Amino acid sequence: MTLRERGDRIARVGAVVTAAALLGLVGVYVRALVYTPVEAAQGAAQKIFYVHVPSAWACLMAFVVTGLLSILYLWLKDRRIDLAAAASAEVGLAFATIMLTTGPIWGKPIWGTWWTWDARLTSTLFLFLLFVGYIVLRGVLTDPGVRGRFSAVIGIMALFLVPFIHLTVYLFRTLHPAPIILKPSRPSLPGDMLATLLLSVGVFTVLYLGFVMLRYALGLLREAREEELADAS
Amino acid sequence: MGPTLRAAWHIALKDVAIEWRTKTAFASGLVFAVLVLAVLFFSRDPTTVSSTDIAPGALWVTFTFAAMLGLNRAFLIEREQRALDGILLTPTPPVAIFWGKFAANLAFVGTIEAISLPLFVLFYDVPIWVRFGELVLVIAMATIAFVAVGTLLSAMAVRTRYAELMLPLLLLPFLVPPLVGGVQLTARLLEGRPLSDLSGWLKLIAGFDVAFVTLAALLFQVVLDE
Amino acid sequence: MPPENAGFMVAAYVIVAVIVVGYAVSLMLRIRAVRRRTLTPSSSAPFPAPTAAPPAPLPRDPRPR
Repeated sequence: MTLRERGDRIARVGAVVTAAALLGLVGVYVRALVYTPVEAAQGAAQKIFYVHVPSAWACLMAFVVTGLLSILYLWLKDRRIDLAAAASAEVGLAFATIMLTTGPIWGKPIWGTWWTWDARLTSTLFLFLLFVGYIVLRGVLTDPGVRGRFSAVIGIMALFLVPFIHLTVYLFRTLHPAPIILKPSRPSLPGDMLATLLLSVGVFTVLYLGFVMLRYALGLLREAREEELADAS
Repeated sequence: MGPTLRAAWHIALKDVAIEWRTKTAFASGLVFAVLVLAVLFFSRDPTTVSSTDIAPGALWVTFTFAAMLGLNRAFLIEREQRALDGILLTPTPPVAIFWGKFAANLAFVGTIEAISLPLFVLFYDVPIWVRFGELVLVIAMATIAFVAVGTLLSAMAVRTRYAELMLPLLLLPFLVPPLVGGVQLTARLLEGRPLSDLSGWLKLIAGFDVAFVTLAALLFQVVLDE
Repeated sequence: MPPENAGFMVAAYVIVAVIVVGYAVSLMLRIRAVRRRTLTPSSSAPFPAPTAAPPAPLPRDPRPR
């Protein structure tokens, strides 16, 4: 199968998976907004939880996948692994953006402040910056071999860095607990809410897969175009 | 001395010798240190924020600038006249190039830090002698972290057209754990707390050093491969 | 009595929808742009290929990806 044919096929599958995930997202919206009860102490804003947490999960997944594929790429040197890692990074950037925008919008009504510098938000902020650096680096490197290797180095370093950032903030927080104005109670989630959350996590996972497939297909098709242009000239 | 160690030593000496002849980055390091310390001093409300409150942050921002300056330089001198290619043509093992560069950068950044520290004591009137030895240890540990990651990343950045932009963009997230640890430890030490109280932060920076010096040394080869 | 903060909820859900749909659209558009610039239109493409005849071979694109 040529690069072009493979790219086309994955684009087709990716489009279907993404469309399915988008439908699922509509279902999640309906279920979360209409059929899930409002939490008594926190109000309607608590429902942001059902999109904020799954996006954090998808972002984490994207980041780990990029890191692991980076290791694999340095071992196997297959350009397709590099393209897959890059696809996961860009999709991770999208989910990180969702997490970083919904976080403050959730934080203000629930915690009383737009930004809390807690471990999860702070780690995601720096993960966002790492993704940006990764993508910018790929943008300025023209040689595919150099681009693959350098991206892999960043991917692997990031894999080790994020736990340290998490630990840094955790250490800061345990030694300097933040004064919190509104402290919502943290009971275990009642059945309805848990079901909505799990549904949302599932849909976001499928959305991640669909997006990665499409982005990967885009990478393959661009490679195919480069080859065609090189052959023609 | 094994051949790797010998090669690393020679590369380190070469870098230090080049810098010693021109001293440009030392000069700019000094200027940056004075500037940062002065701006941070004057940018607070002196009635509510004491100089000892902002001192640790001011010191570490200065050190971060010093590290950036040193690292940017280190590979730019190689890029001139493609000197790095010359080294690569010799049978020098890549890991020796890393250790050599690492040592030179460490010496360089350490020197700017050594210049900044007396200025810091002068401008902020901090009781540095209370825990001087421990403070030097903390500074050394965090600087090792900066320089290890920075040596690897500057080797990558210098291959792009936008090296001066790429290095900070890539490096800054990696500076967060050692930087925060450094500031926290400096603040507590200046307050007079014993090192045994601060084991959490020390373990964080030590763990970071072990992990990232190892990673940088291993991955450097990947960056040099043609 | 739960607090009146539904506005935040709406804002968040709208932003998520905008980002998700926006990213999906950007992917589709970029895939279509790559197809349009290739020399041999693929018959198995899920997205409509341009109906005009393909232009003369393009000069080598020097921009990094």
